[in-house]
Amino acid sequence: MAILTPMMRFIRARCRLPLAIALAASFAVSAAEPLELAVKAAYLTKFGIYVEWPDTAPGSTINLCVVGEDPFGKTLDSAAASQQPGNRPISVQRLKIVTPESDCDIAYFGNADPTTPQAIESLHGSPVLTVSDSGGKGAIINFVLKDNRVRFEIDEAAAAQNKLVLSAKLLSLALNVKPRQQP
Amino acid sequence: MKSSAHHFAGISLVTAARYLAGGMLLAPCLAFGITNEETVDLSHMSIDDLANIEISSVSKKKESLSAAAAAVFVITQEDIRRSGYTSVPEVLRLAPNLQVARIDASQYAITARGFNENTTNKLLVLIDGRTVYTPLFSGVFWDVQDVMLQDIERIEVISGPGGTLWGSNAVNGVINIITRSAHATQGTLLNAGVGTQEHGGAARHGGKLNDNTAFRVYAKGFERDGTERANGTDAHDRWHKQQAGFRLDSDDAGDKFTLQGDLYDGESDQRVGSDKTFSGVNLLGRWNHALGGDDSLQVQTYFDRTRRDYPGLFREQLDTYDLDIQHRFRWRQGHDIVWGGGYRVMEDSVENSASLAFLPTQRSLKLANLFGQDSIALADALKLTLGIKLEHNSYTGTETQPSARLAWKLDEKSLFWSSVSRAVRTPSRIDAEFFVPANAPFRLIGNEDFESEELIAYEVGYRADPTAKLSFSISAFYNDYDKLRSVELSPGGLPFVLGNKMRGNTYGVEMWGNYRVNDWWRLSAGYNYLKKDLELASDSSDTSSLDNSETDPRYQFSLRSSMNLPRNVELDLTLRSVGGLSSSEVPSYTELDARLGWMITKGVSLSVSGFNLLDREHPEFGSLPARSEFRRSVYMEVSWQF
Repeated sequence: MAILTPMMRFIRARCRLPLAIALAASFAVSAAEPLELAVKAAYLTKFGIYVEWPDTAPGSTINLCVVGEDPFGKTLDSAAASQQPGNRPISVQRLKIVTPESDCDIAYFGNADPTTPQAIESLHGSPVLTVSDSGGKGAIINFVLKDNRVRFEIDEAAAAQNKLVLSAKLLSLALNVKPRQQP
Repeated sequence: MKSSAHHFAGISLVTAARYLAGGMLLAPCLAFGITNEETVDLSHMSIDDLANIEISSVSKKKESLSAAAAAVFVITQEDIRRSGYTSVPEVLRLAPNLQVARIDASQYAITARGFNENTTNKLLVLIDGRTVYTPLFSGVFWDVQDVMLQDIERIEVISGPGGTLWGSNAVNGVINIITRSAHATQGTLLNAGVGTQEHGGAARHGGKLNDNTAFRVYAKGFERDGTERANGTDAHDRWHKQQAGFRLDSDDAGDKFTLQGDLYDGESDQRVGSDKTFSGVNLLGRWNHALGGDDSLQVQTYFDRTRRDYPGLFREQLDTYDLDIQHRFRWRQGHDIVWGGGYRVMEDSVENSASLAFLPTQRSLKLANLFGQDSIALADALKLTLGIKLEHNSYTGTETQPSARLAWKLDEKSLFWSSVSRAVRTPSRIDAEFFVPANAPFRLIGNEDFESEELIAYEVGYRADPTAKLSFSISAFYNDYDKLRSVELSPGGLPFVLGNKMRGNTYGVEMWGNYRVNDWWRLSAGYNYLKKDLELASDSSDTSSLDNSETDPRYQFSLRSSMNLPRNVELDLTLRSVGGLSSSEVPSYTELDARLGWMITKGVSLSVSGFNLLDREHPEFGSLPARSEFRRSVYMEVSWQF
């Protein structure tokens, strides 16, 4: 064990110096978080596998709308190009504002701004899978970071309101599910 | 003489001794997790996989799989679940770069790139950083290596040498079994299964002590039927085992603490005498301190005790104490440095029988190491990794294990890599301190001057994801071995004495790939080819080792189909074809495993699996007439998670 003492001393001496630099570096990294976005983009293009929309023609396009500021850029387009949930191609749309007439099947609200809850509210009753990020209120699916992983919560009541059927598989992956009210 | 050598092999099987620990801080530095790389392609991942991707890991040096200059295959939790396999060795069949041969109901011969034996000694196995290794024969007692399969995050299988990071015995490969953090195993899981050859159950509960601290406790047990030989006689190897354990994880702003432990015991029939028993306990603590950026300091320590009692043959207790430290930091422009060291004490104590002896009966083995590795960005697309490990052991003194690896990113979707490395297999008690029988006149004795077996390995590989649907990896190797173990005659004839007079080379290719046919159907295939060319030194009197060395299949092939059917039904089929073993005349075989799973409702799932479906029975290892045959079997399992 004697060998360890000088080693520890060396480590202590060595670690002090780069700390400030390293902290700065880690800050820079956390601003980018490309992997987190890639995971969210992958989720968005796969949710379609686990959701049934009412009155959907087989093979019709799934409109995936990014509402407001778009954090993904090309990441989402390339993710969408590689997926065909239920043999339905995905088309990515970027919208400043969303209405029931926007014809979105999935609407993602990224960087929440004060109008987000209202926008989500406006889609209640329409067959749109609303997805929000970290605390957006009222959406059917809400991404949360947990244990360094991208997970999500599900509001099944909101899904029922929008006449969407979510598969048991999807529900089982949710961190928690707000159940639908019994009629 | 040939029979003597066989006898030797037979003994080494039963003497298989124990596992030891040696968790390395190093484990994380070769944890090929996924890093923050913009290029990462997630399209082939299932939604379950997505939920398990760690999006940042400042505390560990995780190297993106797509950037690793080594032949790495990762078995995911999803792969494990969908395989239906119920034990760690069976799960390892999922890695195309491993050779997995079942010996009997509880024993396996597992290696990478050849030299499979009852007492395989060129593969290193770690469970959550704890080396499970027996200094009796430098190998692994697979019957006591178990975890809650549902709690495995992934298994990284590296074929090729890893001595620079992991140390001696990582000669032909490294298996790194990584379980999930307690934060990721919250809630309760109950599992029970019954089948034609085994039944078992497991329970786990995870909770939180506070916002930062999570725990889980688990218990599992099983009973597995004995096997039969080709002539229909009973091999008397029925066994059962129970195990319990816990894990505690606390993450607090840059500091991560892990405390985990396991407790197990079991019994196995044997033909003569009372049952064989084994038991053990281990406790591991790890502290990881983020220094900012990717810089980190990790300290890990563990204690491991394992006991094995084979009435009439031998009894052993091994206590292992291990401490490892590693530090990672960036230096100047383009240097990513990991360095550290470790110290391990193995207190091994045996009780011998008339038929064999390890002498002295008590032995304290010490292992100290220092290592350093620098990954140098030569250019944007070119990374050179140079490393060296100095390790001091009780038998041969200091061993040097250097390596050089080059990774060349041809474009965003493909990588070419190549490496040259040296690795050694240091002596174990069986090489140096072994006597058969226990008293003179001996028939076989170990050699106190036994030297380390040496390897220089040359590897090249290519990995690519040419389309969103297709990914594959191809690697080729040429291994040059020296001082391999041989069985020499004494000047006057008997006894046989172990020597280092065999040398030679092996070469081969390993390839695997994934093809996503559509959203609900995925195909994976694997193939490997291995050729061995060994020879004895001119002054060797060994007449058996060459004849007995063909214990590896020349080829292995596997094809796996994973389908997600409507109504939450999954269908998985795995076909594997394994070449024959000429030394023991084990014929080649092709088998099919299948699993049908159904998620009845959230958290409740049911599955039926069939194994070895194509034949009534087949052998995988060992010689007639004593070897076991493995029958077709069915297993039904129900799981409830809440």
